[in-house]
Amino acid sequence: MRRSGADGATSPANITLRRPRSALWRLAQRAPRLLSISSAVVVLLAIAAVFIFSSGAREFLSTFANPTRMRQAFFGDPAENITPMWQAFLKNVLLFCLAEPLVLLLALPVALIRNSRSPIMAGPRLLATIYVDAARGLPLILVVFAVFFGFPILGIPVLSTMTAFQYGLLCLVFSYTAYVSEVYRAGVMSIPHTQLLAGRAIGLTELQVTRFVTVPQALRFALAPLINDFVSLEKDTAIVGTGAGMIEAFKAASIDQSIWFNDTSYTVAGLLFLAVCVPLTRYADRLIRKDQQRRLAGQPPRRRRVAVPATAGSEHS
Amino acid sequence: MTALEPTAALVRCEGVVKRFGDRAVLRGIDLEVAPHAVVCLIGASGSGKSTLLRCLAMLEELDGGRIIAFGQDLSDPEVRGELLRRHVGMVFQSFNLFPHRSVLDNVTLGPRKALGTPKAEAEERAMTLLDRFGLADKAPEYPDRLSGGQQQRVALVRAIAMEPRLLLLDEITSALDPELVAEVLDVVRELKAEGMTMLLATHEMGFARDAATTVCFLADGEIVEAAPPEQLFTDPSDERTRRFLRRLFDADRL
Repeated sequence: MRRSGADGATSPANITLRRPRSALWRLAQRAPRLLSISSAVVVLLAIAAVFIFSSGAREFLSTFANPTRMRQAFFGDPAENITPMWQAFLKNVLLFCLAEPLVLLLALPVALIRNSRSPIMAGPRLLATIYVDAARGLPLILVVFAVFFGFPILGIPVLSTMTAFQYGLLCLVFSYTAYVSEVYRAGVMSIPHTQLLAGRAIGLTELQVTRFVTVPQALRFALAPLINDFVSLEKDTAIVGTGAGMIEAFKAASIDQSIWFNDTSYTVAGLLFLAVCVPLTRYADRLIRKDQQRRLAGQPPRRRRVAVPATAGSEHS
Repeated sequence: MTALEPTAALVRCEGVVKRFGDRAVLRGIDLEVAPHAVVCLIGASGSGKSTLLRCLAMLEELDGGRIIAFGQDLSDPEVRGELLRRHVGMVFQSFNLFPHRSVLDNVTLGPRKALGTPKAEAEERAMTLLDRFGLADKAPEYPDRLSGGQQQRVALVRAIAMEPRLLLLDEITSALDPELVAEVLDVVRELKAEGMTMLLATHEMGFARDAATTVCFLADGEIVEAAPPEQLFTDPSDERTRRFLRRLFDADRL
């Protein structure tokens, strides 16, 4: 109490809490909607302007967005023996749809093995570590070359006689299982130690704690980064097309391009990928938001109602 | 197994030692908990109360001494922690409910998975317990939506649902707002009335005074003094106990 008032610099009269606001701030308060619309328009116009006023805009459009070529690339051309792009793209979708569940499934044991501590798991742990390092470190395109050109020479019964599609699937699963296992592992490690204690405290075995406490929570933590990898996987199905003998969207676009010397086919391929990836990310965002809302803001989970037994309450002493 | 005498302790600690690195947290604890006893561990933070409880639940390994529970030495390599914990419940300061499971599923997980109780039966018994402690309407909710007091009561119900022979309570009111402490302690009192054997680490001296059968004062990893509450709180024999109680009194906590 002695100090108060003694020092002029901190006496109440010298404390200023006000500072003038900018005109922009006042506009944001009064008309936030107007401001956000103008902001969006300015950004879009700026991008459009850069494009329109660039010297090669016309040439760019005719090369990458030629309407005739676009139609031809999308629907194919039996006369020129061009596969319709939408058909080729189905291969990408199929690759993705088959690879993703396999990755999600296989990555879990890899993650659990890497997180294990028991001495008996040292062997599998070493193997898993080497695998993850290799699969994450190698560019997917090298894996594709090694598999597509190497495996057939090896002369191993099943591995050497697979179809191009199966090799493609193999490459994607090999590469992405490593990534996803690391996402799982991060999810597992973000679970507080106290959760494991609580699981043990109700008599669960270590395996049951993993199954009922760790894994379900790790999956929730991992949801957002997992979706990130989903989208990445969907895009990388295009890399698999560089392997011989399989026509997927990117390969189809390359063939188309080599016939017409026009790059519009790549644009079509790009649009097809966007058409799948963008909704996927949007859907994922909604999924994550809904999960959070359900737990925090909370509608109760959907489940059948459990009746309170008639005797309940009466034995209250 | 030979039948135990009726008066035999449920658990007995003999010279229990626990070190973390080169710091000895427990330095030779001797303690007995008889059936239906309510033993309160008091003492400053860091005196080893929580560690002792964790050792008793086999959540920590001992560095010396031994613990006998239900007539069996816990240091026997064939003694399994998860089998012990089917009969010894533990409740934590920070509740530690499973956030991804509804209240009902929190309570039924142990009985269903550890004891193999059928789902319908486990849920019926869980609802009976939740109802008894005024939590029936919370059954379908997720823990994050409950108040601290409600969460801790659910945690107690989760432990009781296993029908433990011994309940270890680790400062279960320390994380609660003062006005929520009573609702949790009421549950503990009710369990005492039912004859539940309990070992609690607590800072609630009022509760220890009127509910405990024995109060143990811990300091520096040792039990300095163990006595019935009326004796320990009014006529402590050890100087360290006296100092601890005086400090609490000065801080208005007694």
